[in-house]
Amino acid sequence: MSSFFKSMDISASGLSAQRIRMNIVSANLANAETTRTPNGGPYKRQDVIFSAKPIGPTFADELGRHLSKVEVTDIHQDLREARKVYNPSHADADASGYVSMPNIQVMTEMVNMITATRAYEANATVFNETKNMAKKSLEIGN
Amino acid sequence: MTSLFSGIFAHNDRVQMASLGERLKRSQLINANVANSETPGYRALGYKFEAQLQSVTSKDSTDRMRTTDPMHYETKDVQSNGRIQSDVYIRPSESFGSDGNTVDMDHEMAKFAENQILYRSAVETIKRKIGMLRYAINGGR
Repeated sequence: MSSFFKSMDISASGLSAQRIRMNIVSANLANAETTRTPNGGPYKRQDVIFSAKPIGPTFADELGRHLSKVEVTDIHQDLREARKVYNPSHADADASGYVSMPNIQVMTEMVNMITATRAYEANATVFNETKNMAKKSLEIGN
Repeated sequence: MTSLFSGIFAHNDRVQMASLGERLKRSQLINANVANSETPGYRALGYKFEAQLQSVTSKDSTDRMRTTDPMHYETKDVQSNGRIQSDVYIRPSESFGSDGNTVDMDHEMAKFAENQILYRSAVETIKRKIGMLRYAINGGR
């Protein structure tokens, strides 16, 4: 039975990784026009780094050496230049009238969001079906 | 599957029971592939046991070969404890994205559905076998 739970554990790691990614996308979209941050300057775009993490010694057999969960190892800042917009009436405009806006492109974020949703759904489907398998196995002997 | 049950459960029933464990392992593998569908550089894994299962079960003997002495030969498809030697491999893929990930989501979902159906059918077969035994135990009532 515990094998089912390991299976679900792997799917759960996928769900939580995609959820973190979704949070980051939300933060990026919410701050698409933010020109002031605690560190000074405009908001900088953030992105998640996924990496495969071997499940390791909990699996006794050779399958365990191959299987990996997914985990968010880092949230890094996109260091591309801030977008310069000419808007002399803006409070944060520099001497020549340009405002440094966040380096966020809404289209990129939307694509990221849809990909995250799809991946989340796939993990949820696989999770549910694994659960159904576990339920089915309980029918043996009934 | 000890010899204790060998009179009650036929060879093919035991094959069905052994296949349950293998199907579960395959589903774990698919879960791992789906979870890592966005991980850069992840190579999709494949899992193969049907060929091994077939070659083990096509033999006439009702018991699988075991090696109990270092002088015994091990066959390719059977482990020393008599279990099926399953095969995990990195699936060759003709297409991978710019990040080196080779998970094909449609393929994974299709494999998962297939695995699920075959698992359920194996459970159903075992269930009916046990139902027949119960019918016999109750004297046909």
